[in-house]
Amino acid sequence: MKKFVITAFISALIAFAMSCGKKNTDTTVKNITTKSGIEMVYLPGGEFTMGSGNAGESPAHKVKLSPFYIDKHEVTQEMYKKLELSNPSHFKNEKNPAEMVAWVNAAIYCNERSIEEGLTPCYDEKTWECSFKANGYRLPTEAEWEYAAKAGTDSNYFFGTDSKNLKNYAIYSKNSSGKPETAGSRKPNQFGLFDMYGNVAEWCNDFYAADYYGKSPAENPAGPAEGKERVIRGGSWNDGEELVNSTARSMDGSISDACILRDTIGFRCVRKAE
Amino acid sequence: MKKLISGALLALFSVIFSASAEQYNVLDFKSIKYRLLYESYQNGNWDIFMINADGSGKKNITDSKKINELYPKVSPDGNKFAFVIDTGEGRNRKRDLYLMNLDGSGKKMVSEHGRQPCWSPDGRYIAFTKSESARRFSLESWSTKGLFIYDTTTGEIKEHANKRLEHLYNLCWSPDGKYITATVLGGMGYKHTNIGIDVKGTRYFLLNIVGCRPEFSPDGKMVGWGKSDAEFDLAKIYMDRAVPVAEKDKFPFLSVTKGYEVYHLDWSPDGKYIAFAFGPDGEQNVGGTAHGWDICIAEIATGKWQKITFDGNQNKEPDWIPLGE
Repeated sequence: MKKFVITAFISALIAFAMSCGKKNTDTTVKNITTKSGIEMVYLPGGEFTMGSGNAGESPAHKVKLSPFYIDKHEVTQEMYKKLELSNPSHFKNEKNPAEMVAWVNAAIYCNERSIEEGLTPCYDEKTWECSFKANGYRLPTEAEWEYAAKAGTDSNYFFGTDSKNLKNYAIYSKNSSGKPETAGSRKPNQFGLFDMYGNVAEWCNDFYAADYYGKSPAENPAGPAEGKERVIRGGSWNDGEELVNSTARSMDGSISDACILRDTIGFRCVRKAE
Repeated sequence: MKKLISGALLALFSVIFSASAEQYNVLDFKSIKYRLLYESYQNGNWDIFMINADGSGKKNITDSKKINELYPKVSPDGNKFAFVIDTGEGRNRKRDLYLMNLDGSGKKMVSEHGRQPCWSPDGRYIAFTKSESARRFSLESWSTKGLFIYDTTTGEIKEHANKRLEHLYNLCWSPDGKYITATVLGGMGYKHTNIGIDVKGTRYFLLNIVGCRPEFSPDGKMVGWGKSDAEFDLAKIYMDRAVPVAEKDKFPFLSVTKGYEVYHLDWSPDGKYIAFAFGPDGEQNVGGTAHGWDICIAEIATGKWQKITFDGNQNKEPDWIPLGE
């Protein structure tokens, strides 16, 4: 009896201690709708293999991530319009992803969406430093993006290895009509995320460094401390298989310069799970 | 044979007009009678400064501590200038369009949320755009909506007949008074290009200029623009053509080495010189951070150029003052 009481007490103590931490320990992928009506997916976090043996994507390495929410779709022009922000897109269509978005303007969108929902903005608009402690929206780290794209798989594509199937999941150079299309018009991945491949390539929060995988921390890597270019992932309507997959890395200048804005680049948002 | 001669002439132009960042202190600007205005960030505040073309006589003509004055555009008679005032901070910053006498007196608001002014050649009208978002401030030059015309004699503002105009910046009124040129980004179906807009009517058309910020020479026969962050091109321009600038009319004028930028080209009233801003990689937008940028002048005939300011206080948007008063 005494043993039972002690065991019950310890169990209760552990349960109490766990409940005191406010971290979300839900282990299932879930759909949610935010205050402003945007569909996101809760990803429970965990460990996965990031990178591959390919040049520029190596070494493949284990990365552990905390849980986070990620937009189900790329940020659309309609979402831009709701926040009354100037829509820079070349191919105007409210249902299409926003493109021609400079990294700083993607960060501004994140901050405005945070303000709209009463959350704390992540980006300091003077330095563009991201506060990962803030509960607002931000761009995904490169690791978060890849974890979301792989959706629990280890292959080059979340649907397997045969690139012929890409047409079912992505708008890319071989099936696009020379421009982006309606967000979510192809099949999602196993996490329910649309257009992780193609349509528009997506900004990540990280500065780009080709050798980063060789020295990145094992838990919640957030990219090099400084740099000129930011990471872009997933490829676009104008890219081929070499960029439209889970592991290919690319980058672009992060400054806002009208002369170099691209109608192939957009983004989606994440926020930490509390 | 005619083609051969044209090709040779073009090649000659390219050689004559090319320039590099090393060509400092090669010109004597003391003979130039004109002065210029420009925006400059000093002591934590943007002000508008006047300076002689040889770099002497620098004077702060707005000299305000808490108000940011930027983007000066001098009237054709050289007596007034239009400019913008920024107040507030961060996302709550606000930009409005003002008018002032060149001696700093007579400040008057033209339009709330007005941006990117340019004068009609007769000095009666000021064309401008307005900030697009009422929700938050944007430093982006292209973040504009509409084209508006202010009549300085009546104080009346009218929107241009084409209500679809959006995302225009760097307005420039043609010397014949018929057109306003502008760069457009992500507007009216364009990605990023340069257009001419009929002042009367709703038509707009492509100028066939790759790059941004075209500016007319005073006689209206030439146009200059930024081909990239680091290059200026010039071209003959014929506004009566279906496409006013043809490929064969273009030639490179000035370029700088990687890591540096040139922006905000402006022709001198006699058409002999171009003033511009030059400095290390920075933000060219009005009020953007551009540490180390200075005002420079280039001679059209030789392509030689040099700085006329040396403090690097984010000096941008030079605008010549006509009549050499």
